[in-house]
Amino acid sequence: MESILQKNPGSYMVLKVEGSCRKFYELGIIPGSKITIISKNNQGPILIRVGNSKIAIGRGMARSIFVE
Amino acid sequence: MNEEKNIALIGQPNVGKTTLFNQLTGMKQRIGNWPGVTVEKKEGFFKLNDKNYNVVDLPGIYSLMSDSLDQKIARDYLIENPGATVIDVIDTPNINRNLYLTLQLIELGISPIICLNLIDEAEKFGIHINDQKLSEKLGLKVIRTSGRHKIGIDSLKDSVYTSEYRANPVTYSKLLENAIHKIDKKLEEGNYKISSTYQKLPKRWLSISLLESDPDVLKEFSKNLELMEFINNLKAEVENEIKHDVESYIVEQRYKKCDEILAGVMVNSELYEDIDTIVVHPVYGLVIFAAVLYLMYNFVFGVGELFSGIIGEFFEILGEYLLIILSESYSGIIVDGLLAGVGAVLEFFPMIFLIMFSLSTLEDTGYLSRVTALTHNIMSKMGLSGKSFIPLITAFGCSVPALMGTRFISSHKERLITLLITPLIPCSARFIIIGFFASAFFIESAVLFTMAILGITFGLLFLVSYVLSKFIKGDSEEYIFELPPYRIPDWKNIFKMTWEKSKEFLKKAGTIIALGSLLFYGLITYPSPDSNYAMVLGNILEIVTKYMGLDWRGAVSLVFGIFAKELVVSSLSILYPGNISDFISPLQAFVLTLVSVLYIPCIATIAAFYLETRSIKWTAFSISYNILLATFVGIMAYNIGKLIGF
Repeated sequence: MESILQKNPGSYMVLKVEGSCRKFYELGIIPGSKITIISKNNQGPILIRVGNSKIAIGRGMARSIFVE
Repeated sequence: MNEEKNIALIGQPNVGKTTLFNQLTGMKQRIGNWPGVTVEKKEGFFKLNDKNYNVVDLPGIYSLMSDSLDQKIARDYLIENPGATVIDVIDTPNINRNLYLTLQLIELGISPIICLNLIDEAEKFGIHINDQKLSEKLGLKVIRTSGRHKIGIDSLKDSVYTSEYRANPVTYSKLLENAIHKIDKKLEEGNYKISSTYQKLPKRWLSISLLESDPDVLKEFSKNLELMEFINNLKAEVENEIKHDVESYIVEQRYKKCDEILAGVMVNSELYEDIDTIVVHPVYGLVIFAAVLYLMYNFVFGVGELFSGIIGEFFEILGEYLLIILSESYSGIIVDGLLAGVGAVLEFFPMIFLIMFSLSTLEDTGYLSRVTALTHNIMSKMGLSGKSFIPLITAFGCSVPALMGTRFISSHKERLITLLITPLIPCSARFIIIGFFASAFFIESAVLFTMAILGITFGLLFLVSYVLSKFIKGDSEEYIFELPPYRIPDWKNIFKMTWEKSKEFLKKAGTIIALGSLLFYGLITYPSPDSNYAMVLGNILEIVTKYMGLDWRGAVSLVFGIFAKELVVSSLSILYPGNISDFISPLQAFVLTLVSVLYIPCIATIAAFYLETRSIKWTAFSISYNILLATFVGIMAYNIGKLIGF
């Protein structure tokens, strides 16, 4: 299983989340939901889209979202 | 008296709730604080037919759990005001996630009026909702609104007046319902001693909250060990079946319900707009940010100076006129005391207004939240998070709202560091001091002078933050932040926000600064101008300040600055009538500026700091490290300056 930190921009399905789950859930990042990585640089937060909202996620947190 | 009804606006962040609130209540508003906390509470009023309505704008929240301050405030309001009509404002493009909050409201026994807000934005992008069907499914009144385009405001008011809807019961999976039912029964039989507010709430809600481990509800029941054990066993039972935790299971169930409700009701579409790949890019993004700041400062100081000149001239003419008409016994205190003090400060009102205006605009367009993502990497190097950036940038206006703005940083460590370093950012009052000395001593090199002061201040800020992050224990917060869509600013709202904030400044000029100037004039005039009370006080402080090259006058003005930093300028204008540059050297002016920017924040900031931390220890630490830092830097700057020949 790979986290979004290891993926390139594109759409994925969330398999599971770890750690501060409640924050993810509130923003609609739940197992089974579709997320799109919009941009990812060598440093700084990763931009993703969930539904019609855009979310910036720090690299540490990005490590706990597993997708396929 | 007419009947008065309470209305509460609730919704997730960035759903256009405040704009809707402004449309509902017009200018009839009152801004206060929620009891016991420094979170802003907005109330407004409107009247329809024979009824008066009192509208409360609850904080924007994602869910109704009691684990964050904002969420707790909103929830406690709903629990304590069961008679209030609740308007649930929904961001239509994100309706799925927003319905989650709606379901929680229904669990709490509330039948809210649903506002499909930003409906215009949604339809432009091809998202369509059949509001009739949605209304039938939920059993609730559904209204299409857009605060910005004044769509649906009247029908919203009408439905508040007339509607008596009852939400359809919401049920989840059999497994979950069984568990809820078991706790319901247990609560019914157990007759547990809980506060009367909790007693009035639906049992079903209490049961779900217990399953979800809601901190407040758990605390309420925690004394009943037998019940706690019952719930833990029940949770273990359910978890054994689903193979993961109950908390996430309940969340999944709610989302599943949202999907069910929206099936056949909504035509969805995805919005695309990828300018953010550039705006938060580590290189291009910073270039854009630098350009934005440069434009903003040019705007603030360029336009501001134009108006400052006019205000300055006005006070000069007024002073001359008063000197002629007032008898000599009054004219001293009025013209040299009150007018000199207040006038010197009011000259900077245009700058303050424009800074507030620019910050509100950047916030309203959505750009400010990009800046948090952009700066997160740099901020994390000094022990902070990108989220600290918004309070820090707010502090350029005033430290008090900036301190309040730290509460959405959930890591204790990062919040504390942000609270401690925020007072180091020069607020608009301190820009007045910088501006005052720049125009008196460094007209030719005002920019260089300002940059030098700011450079030293920021250097210290990074240093202090870095050092604190090594000493304060706790975990760093992981960064996760929603970026709202870019929007054309709602100018009406911006002007209103700007006016609210700058009004505070005018109030201060009319009260604390006016009184301070009068008191100050009294202190330097009595018992006699040549040996006065201010001198006595100043002479004591001079023991330290002489090492910074400041005599008793500088020392006294610093003491007055504690009440409001603007008073440093007022006091100096009274102490050195005419041109201050005839009295002190540019180096002394530089040191005085630097020290006044760094030492103790004003009284209002200290009070806000205490209210936010509720810790005398940290408040005392904050004050003392500021004084020590200012003293040390002041002495260093003066001696180095002398050494290199200034």
